[in-house]
Amino acid sequence: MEVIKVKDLHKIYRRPIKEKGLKGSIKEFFKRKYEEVHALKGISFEVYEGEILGFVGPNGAGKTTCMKILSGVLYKTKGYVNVLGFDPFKREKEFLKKITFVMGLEGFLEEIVWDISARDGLYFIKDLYEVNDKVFLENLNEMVEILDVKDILDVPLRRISKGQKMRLELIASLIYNPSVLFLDEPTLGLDIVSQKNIREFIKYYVEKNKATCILTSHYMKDVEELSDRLIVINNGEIIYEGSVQGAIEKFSGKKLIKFSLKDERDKEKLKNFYPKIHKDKEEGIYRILVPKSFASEITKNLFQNFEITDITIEEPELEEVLRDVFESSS
Amino acid sequence: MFLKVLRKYIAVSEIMILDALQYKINTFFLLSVILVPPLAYFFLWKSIYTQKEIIGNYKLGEIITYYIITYFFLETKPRAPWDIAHSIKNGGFSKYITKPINHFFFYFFSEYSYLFVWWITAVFGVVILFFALKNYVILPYGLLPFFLSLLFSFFGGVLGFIIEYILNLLAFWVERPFAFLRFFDLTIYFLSGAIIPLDLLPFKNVFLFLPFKYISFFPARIFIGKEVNINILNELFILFFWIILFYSISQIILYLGRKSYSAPGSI
Repeated sequence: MEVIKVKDLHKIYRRPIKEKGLKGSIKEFFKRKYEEVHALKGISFEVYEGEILGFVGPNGAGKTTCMKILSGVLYKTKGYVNVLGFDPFKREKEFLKKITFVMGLEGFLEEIVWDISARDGLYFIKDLYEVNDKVFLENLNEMVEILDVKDILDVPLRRISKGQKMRLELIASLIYNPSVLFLDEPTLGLDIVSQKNIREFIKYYVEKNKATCILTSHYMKDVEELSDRLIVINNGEIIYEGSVQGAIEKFSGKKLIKFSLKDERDKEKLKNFYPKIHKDKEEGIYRILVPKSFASEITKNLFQNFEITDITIEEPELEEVLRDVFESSS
Repeated sequence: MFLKVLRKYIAVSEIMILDALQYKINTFFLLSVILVPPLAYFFLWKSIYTQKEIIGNYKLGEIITYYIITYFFLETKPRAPWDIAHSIKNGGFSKYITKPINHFFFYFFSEYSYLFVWWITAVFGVVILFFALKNYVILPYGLLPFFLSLLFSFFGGVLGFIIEYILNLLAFWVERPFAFLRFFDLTIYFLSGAIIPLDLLPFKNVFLFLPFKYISFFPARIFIGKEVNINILNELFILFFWIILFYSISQIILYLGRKSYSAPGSI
């Protein structure tokens, strides 16, 4: 069943531009200049019941703008938007009770109960969404158990860590059983363990409630593990819609060469050879995405010019492929 | 249905009272706001009244009581917090409009509940002032003027809140609306009669026509027994007219503002 339908959606907004320095500020004081930003250029797509749609793209691609229109935060410039049979901008109560918008680390719970306990905040959410006592307590007990937050429920929010806060925000966002989830960077700034914990919980919630979810994340692990389908958006346009594997096949046709340098002083020389090289900070490994047909020649070249300690040639992951696509387009 | 909606706003109130109770010391120090200005006015007007026994149509006791009551009403009136304008500018507004709650009433109930704790403290301040200046202050001549005074100040406060709410909403179009808010803050002190009773000013008919008189001037005058011949229903009708008018304007502005809202930031 179709839950979200978007057709020929456009969003244009004005933003002020300022010339450099004091002169620019004085000019701006008398006459402010604006530029028009075409954030979405006629995108169309549907999302179905029980589906998790991964929404990926570089910063400023239009992902969050699209989610904000779908949740009624922003007014569309042109096009058709329907979520659960509602026009989101009208903010009908029945619509708002069925959706949730998780906005990274800046949650609603934190906004209202900074100085008091999360438990008080969750009871407030219960009243806000008119959840009956039985459902609320069942959900609360279950979510507290799964997300392991029992010990921090009565601690003021300002005294707990980012990861714990995010888990509580997630409970606050889902405790009233919304059927459409807009998740904008739900694992941003969290450690690997918390990220995994939150991914598992989202998957569990969507499966259990047959919920529909649109997810954006800069962590491709989130997108790869959770998404049933992927939309790649760049400069306000959809450049791919399909499976995760399909995106790798479409955009790649490439191999990933991973290696380490014996002498790190060769780093600059390496950058001259391959300007688009990336170094994995955690593993200290260099990575180059190269056309399949050149993979062996480039490997040979690397051995000839550098002292390589370890090298592998692999199929690239989604993150690698998309980074390459976005860098090429910019 | 109504009870469910009411429950929602009672929940807003509960959460704000809980929050306000976290700041006991802060609240205690705010007591100075209730105590200091009326005391300063006391010394000023006492020296002025050495020349004359009656100024305008106020005796010394009336003017001293007027200032104590005016400051009490002004300082305990709800303020639409600048947070509203801030949230529009930094994108935090998005968090509220994705929730099944009326944006205006959320802030309205939050503010009134937050003030509840402060209001108790402020009453304590007024009692201190009445004791300290017992030879100068006057009490209302009965319970009716006392309650009418509270009633008008309550609805006057509602009106002031709505006007401030509207000014906050200018943040949808204005880069920095805080100068307007500051300006309004100062203007309201003047137009509500906190600096000088409005009927002592030149062009007093203009000031008495404006709705700001209901915030403190008018209720304080009822308290000191200067508005005995008024038609209460007529005055209440005028006050409600202003409230409904400004509330309707606020909702139109909110709707138009949402259309031009850019939801900056990642949220």
